[in-house]
Amino acid sequence: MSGVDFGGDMDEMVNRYLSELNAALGRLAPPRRDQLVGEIRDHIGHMRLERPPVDLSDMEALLNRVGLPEDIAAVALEDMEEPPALPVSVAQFGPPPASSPAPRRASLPGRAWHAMRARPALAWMGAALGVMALTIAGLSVWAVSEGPPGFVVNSIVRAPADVMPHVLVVPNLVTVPNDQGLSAADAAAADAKAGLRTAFVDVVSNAPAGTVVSQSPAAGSLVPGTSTVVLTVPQASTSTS
Amino acid sequence: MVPGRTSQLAQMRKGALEYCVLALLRDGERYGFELVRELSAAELVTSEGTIYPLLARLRQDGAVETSWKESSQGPPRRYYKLTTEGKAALEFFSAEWQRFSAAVNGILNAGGGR
Repeated sequence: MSGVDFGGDMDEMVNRYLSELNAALGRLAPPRRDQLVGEIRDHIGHMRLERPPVDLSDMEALLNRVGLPEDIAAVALEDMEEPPALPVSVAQFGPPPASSPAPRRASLPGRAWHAMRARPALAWMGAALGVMALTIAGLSVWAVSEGPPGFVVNSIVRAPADVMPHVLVVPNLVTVPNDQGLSAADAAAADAKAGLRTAFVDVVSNAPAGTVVSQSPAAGSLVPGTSTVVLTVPQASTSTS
Repeated sequence: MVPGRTSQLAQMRKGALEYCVLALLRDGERYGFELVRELSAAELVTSEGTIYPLLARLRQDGAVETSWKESSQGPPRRYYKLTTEGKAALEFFSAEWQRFSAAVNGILNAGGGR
């Protein structure tokens, strides 16, 4: 037992840090504030467990790595602003589902994201129509992917005060089939059915020739339509092994 | 340095950081501390605590979902997992980022060759 036990002082330092953080987060709704402070407390606990600080200045260095309370608060508070109002014409494409908050007319600044989850009418529009609708609504479309069949599957409105409002239209995504164990031809057919292309990598192996042994991306992955699935297929081994 | 330039860069980093978080979750769920450690090791964050508000935002946006799990050491941990929506956003960003960075590199590396 060499040196002084700083444990109590360290705990006090942490408590002081957390109460400063709590104060800096004053404008955040209490449940979110408590949650964030709790997460930071756990994080500090974890750091102390991983490499226990040897003295108070070491503890201070640890807290510096966590960051200044006001810096953490700044990130937390910039999300606090209300999502920007959606132009009514966009909202008219379909009633917002019960799970998402109704668009509000508040026009607060900030960099809030507002994910238009499951906005059915827009979601199943063709991409071209969706873009047109959004353009008419006064939203500039930031990016559109061209994966056929080109339906909008998701859109995210991001309207920070310092950037033009824009909409992200996510491409049509398909699920990669499980090609492993299939013959090369059957695997290619399964990929084609899913709307995907197929490429083969031949390897010399003792595994049964002509049968897919591995694939990338993995079965069940979500990928943009027309992506290529790379299949590894052993060729008949020429060596006697 | 021109005022405003550094803040633009900070905005860019911040935007990309969100997708780095999603990318770290691509192969399965992880808990907050692990995520922060990886990002910090990659020098993507300096103030580790700032990741937590970002995780809260991703959760609010529906890009990730969380669950609590018991841990063999210490308190239960909150695990983060990509949602289908998060996966879609990540796929989209990766493709766009490849295109964008290739284009920017092309211009940057060409220099003032005219």
